[in-house]
Amino acid sequence: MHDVAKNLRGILPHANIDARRLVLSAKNPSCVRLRAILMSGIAPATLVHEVFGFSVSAEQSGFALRQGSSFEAQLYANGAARLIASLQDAGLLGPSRVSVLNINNIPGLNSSDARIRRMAQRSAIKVTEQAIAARAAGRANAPNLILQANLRLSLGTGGEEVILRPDVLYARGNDPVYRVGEAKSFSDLAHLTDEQDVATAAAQAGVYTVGLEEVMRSAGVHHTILTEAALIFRRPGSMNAVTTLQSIDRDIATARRMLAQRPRSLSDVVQILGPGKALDQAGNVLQLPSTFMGGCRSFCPLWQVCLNEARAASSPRALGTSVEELVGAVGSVRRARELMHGAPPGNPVEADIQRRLQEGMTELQRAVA
Amino acid sequence: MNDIKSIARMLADEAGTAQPITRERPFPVSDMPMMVIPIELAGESPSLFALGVATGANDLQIAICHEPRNRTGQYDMLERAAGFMQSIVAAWDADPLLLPQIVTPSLGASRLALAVIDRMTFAPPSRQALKDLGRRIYVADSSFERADSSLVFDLPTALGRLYATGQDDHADQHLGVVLEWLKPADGRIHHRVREAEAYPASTATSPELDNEELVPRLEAYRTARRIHDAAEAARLEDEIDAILVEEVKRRHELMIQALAAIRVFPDSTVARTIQAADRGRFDRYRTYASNPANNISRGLAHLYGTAQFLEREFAEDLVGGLAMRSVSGERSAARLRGEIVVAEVLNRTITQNKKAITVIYELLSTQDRLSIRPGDKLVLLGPYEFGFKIRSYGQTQAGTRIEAELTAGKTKPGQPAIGDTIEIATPMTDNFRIHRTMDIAWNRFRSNRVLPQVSGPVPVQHDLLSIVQRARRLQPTARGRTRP
Ligand code: SF4
Repeated sequence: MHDVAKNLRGILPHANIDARRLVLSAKNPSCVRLRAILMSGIAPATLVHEVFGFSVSAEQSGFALRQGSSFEAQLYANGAARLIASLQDAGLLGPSRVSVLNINNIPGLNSSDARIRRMAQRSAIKVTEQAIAARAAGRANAPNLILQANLRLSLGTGGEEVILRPDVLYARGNDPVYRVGEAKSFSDLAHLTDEQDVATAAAQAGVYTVGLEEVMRSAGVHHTILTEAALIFRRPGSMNAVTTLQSIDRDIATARRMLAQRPRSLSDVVQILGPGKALDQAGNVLQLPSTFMGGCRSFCPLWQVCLNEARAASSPRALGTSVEELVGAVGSVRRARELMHGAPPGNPVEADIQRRLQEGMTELQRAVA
Repeated sequence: MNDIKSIARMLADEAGTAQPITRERPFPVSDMPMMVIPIELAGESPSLFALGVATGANDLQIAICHEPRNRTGQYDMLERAAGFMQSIVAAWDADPLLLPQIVTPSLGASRLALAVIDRMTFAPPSRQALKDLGRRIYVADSSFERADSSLVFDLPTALGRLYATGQDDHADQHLGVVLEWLKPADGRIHHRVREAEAYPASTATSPELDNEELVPRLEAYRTARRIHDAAEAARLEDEIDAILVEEVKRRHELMIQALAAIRVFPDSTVARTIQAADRGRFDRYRTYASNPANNISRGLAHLYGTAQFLEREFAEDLVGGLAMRSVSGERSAARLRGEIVVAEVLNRTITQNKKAITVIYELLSTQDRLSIRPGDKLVLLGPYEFGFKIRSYGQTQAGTRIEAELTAGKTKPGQPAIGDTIEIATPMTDNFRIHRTMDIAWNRFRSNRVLPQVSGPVPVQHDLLSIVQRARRLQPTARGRTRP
């Protein structure tokens, strides 16, 4: 299967799939194109640049990057004192002794030698799985906090295997199941906190929770997964954290739906493209069905490609969801306009939409006359 | 508004230029708004690099903080900006006809502006001037995203209530892009949009600008300060200033254009109602905040949360009803949704039983959608609001036949006659009832006893026996006497 992925990448370099990339796919779960690109181990931003020649800025602002990494470092410093205090403040950890397992401390994880790194990663996965099983079994030595756990998640059948690294897995007292904690350097501005920030963190936590569930099941743990996550944001003006418990039922459902979507395997992708075709050619990428929506702009580097395609096809999607809801059934904005201007409808659906469009057109003229 | 806006979007896409969707403006615009343009340090909201303040009269003032992570530097910058804000607030105070209003270039900037006001209000005691100003305009916080308030509004959203562009909602959040759509068609709209998109119009600078221009200069600036190289630090300050001034000025320019495009539309009744509500709210709040003994509630205080929620719900109803009656676009949209019933009077029968008069109307509507049920009370949209009660309705070849009883105005002249086309809709929520309900809710909250804070174990004694005995002594007998 690795050969299939390699063939699909063509001359494009391999990129690891992490939760951040998976979350991209969860934001538009019905998009085959993005999912296929991710399953093949291609970074969407590289593809857009190399294949379509668009200069997308995949890079984040240096200010934001530094902010993110220093916040994370501060959270984990001194035995994760800041993180523990914040979880305790939110009532998510008890006041008594808290045991911490920091997976980052496994030697070799950052080694420049790929073989050592691989071995260290295997051991990180094993240690994480042991801790999850120990907690489920109610063992006293099970840690309350696992920092940077390594969770294995298979992306469709035969697709790339993803290693998810949730910032924190935490469990209170004798709770048999861990919950996910997602740390972001976004500012906690109480009721003014950016909704988009919260949504992004919750979506990521949803993917991690599905990964946690998969690891639990494969370890024979059958406890019900908990559908809340701790969102750990930064207190403005300091490096202290503010933790909020957030319900993530919907994010878990979205992540599950995204994982259950086709293509489920790389052979599905090959089937769509035809044998011997790689995603380093624009024509092949465009052969993968896409479902552009306005929101794609905020997360997918391919948005300009898909928007141009939608526009060229006169797709209602290019004008937003309300236009799509109104005239999606006739297939194109061009046809909808023809109907609006009086073209004879070809079927009852078109007749129905024509009536609605003409009534709307009359009202629009009244509104601006 | 959905169908109308969707149709206008399709027309805008075809024409290559935005299409208006109404004749009147459903929200007020101040003659002296406070334009607030915050530029944040990426990933560091609400730490600001720069804060621009203007009124739209060629008076942009920009305060800059070269080291946003420095708290003192932040407060110094806010104090400089507050000096100008103060003069705008003083003008609002002095002229009761002026509408206090904070205008921003994006929804994100509105949130950031509120976070800045919050930061001012709860600044350290040594920053009294900031605290005073923050307290005076903190009313903006509880007015944000209320249907009956325009105290804080962002320009892309405001333009979206007046025009439809040939793109999706998400793309409409970029002020520069929307303004490109407002220009006359030249066959190059998508090209112009792509060019406009290259320049951020919200709160953050672009990652490229950060990484190529600002990050290296900020680092060099920090080094220069550390090694006390004043000349180098001053040079770098000038360079950072030039970049940030350019960023603020560009947004300011866009905002001026947007305000001009918005002002073309005349005020509607609902806009004037919102203006009066905002002014009243601002004045009441000023009186309250002027007493230093009064506390400012930060955000939605949980105790009052329910009451505030109720108030917002009522406001939504009230403003929705008014907008439908005074804004052509809203009225058309309501007709399409079937919230306004447009019908022809087919028949009108009057029966009299002793003194009781019953007037029954038979109506015919050809609307695709109608949102009525038997028992609904509707009123005529006209100079006098005759009241109707829907008795029944049914589908016929010609349309929907509605039987409605005239319930209010039976003896009044000017009743709809056979052959007339009428428009009926749900009555407006009665202002008096809203106030009465809200007064009751607020009084209940205010009369809630504040529970004393208890620390340590509380001794509790239950003497059930004596309670029962006391209750028995007071229980009335069947003959109305208290049993011993
Ligand atoms: S931009 Fe294109 S590829 Fe990306 S999610 Fe949207 S439709 Fe899919």
